[in-house]
Amino acid sequence: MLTYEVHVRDPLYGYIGLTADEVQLLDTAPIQRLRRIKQLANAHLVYPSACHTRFEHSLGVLHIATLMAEHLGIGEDDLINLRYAAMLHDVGHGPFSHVFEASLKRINGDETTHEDITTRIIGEDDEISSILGDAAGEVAAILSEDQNGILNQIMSGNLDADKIDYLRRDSYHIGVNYGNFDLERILHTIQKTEKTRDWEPEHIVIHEKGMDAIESFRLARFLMHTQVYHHHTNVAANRMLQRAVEVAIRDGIVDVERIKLNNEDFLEYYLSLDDARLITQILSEPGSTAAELIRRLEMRDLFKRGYSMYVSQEENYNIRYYLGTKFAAEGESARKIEKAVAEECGCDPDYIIADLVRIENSLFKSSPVLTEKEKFPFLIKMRDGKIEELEHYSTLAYTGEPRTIFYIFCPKEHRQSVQEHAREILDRTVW
Amino acid sequence: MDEFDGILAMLNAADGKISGRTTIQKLGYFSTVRGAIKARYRPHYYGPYSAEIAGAIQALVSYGFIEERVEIPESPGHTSSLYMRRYTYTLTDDGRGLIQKLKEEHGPEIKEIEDIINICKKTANLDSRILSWAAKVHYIQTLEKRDLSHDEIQEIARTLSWDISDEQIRKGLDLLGDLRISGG
Repeated sequence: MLTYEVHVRDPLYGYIGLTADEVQLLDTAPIQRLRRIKQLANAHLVYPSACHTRFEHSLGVLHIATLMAEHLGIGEDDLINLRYAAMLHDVGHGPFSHVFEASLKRINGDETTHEDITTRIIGEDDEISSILGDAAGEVAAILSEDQNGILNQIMSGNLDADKIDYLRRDSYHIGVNYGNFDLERILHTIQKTEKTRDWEPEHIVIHEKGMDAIESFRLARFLMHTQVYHHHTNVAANRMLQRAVEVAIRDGIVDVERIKLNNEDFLEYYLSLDDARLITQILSEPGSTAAELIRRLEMRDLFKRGYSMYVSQEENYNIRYYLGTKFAAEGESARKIEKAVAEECGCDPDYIIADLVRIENSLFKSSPVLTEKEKFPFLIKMRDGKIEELEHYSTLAYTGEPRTIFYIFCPKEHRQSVQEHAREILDRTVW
Repeated sequence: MDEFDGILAMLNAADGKISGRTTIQKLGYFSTVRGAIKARYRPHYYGPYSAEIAGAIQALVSYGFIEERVEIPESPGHTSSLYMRRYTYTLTDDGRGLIQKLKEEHGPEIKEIEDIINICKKTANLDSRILSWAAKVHYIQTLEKRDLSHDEIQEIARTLSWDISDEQIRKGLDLLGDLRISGG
């Protein structure tokens, strides 16, 4: 039985209890830094109250992970490590969360994720490692993408504490209802598979009677993606910020060497960055393109959709194939399109952003295609004890076309010109 | 080649049609091992499984480059299980339209895939079970980076939740031999 020294007030769950060791961990600089990283980057430019941070989300994940662990019969030693892992799961996020991660990937390779940096912080930050002591290795293992035990599944799976918290928390702070679902019912029906032999891996399953609660979770997830995370204005604002970071790196305003994972000062520099400090750094060169992009964001002078199309409805199969399977934002293909559009419209190519939004959600995919790469499908334990995949029984399976939207964003003064030329440019630049 | 190009190339090499998700997964596995496709494989119910390949199949269906047909058992909800469902994939006209360009860009890889499909047809008649046995054996050998006895293979298979008999290992090794790949 854990003894809580401190209780923190949370708008979703009431009081969240913390042990003395957890309070120490919470007070470390890397975790306190999460107070200065907004959960949803620029979503506040669409939904003004979306100013919550990674800090309160991390506490929320600790709370949900604990509830899941209690329902799954996890022992106290594992629970202690699980709660540490929950508090630390987002500590590797950079400024503006996923926005900065895109630049990290471009510089350090596609495989680089904020999870890798989380692991490094757990292992290398003196404050954190001294509090975790011998548990550091186990905590890092719980957050590892390469393992798939029950504790890993609680932290990262199709039905994990992270998603359960952020869907509801984002909904709460934004003021929408899309991300709500029946949490109590999910917790009530969550189970572990029963091992008949020692070597069998364990999986989180939902009892058949909780199937509709899982459906509501899936639907909530889908709607949050369409209505919030991939709202076209939110996409435009975050892509402008990402472009500002990319241009700042290209023009030497942000030192690329310091963002390289193999730089010995990387971690120190990375942990010094938060939303405000990154902006301040970019604005330190007031006449630069990067600073101009930030100024536009500050004034909510956002880029507009000069062109947009549903990729699946494109008649030219070469273009449909290329955009659907090869296009990468900020990649060579995007640059080629942006340059051609800019030339045609008499505009700086830094102000033209070609982008592709894929709504990755299980409603568009049949299982065993997984909602996320490397994650197992939702598993249902039927009344007769058989384990089945949700897809076979779901009434929500989507059979239509995927929502992949190709955008060309531009300043509003160039919108008409982009609209006029985009189609012809795509025909001649793509494949 | 990426997984999208690879799936189109596999279907084209199999005369435009492949039956069974497991079959396509395992053909993708052998193609990855022989360097024709880049995809990541991890252990799953029926052997090595690539979420990228599975996602790419779905995307290609959604974009109209391949067609998916599902044979559903008579009483879904009672006797159905994932073992009984059969998915068949065929190249559509738009999918066929892409093949020439793929041949121009990835000639050697496409030849490699054609060779793999021909061998799997000849030795195993594209039977998903035999392909799975071979893929499991190869995956296990790769883990240990050496040739293993049947007992050793079975012991490691159990840790991955795979059950594989002596006879199945033998058939798997035969196919691997024909494919000229070894994980050992």
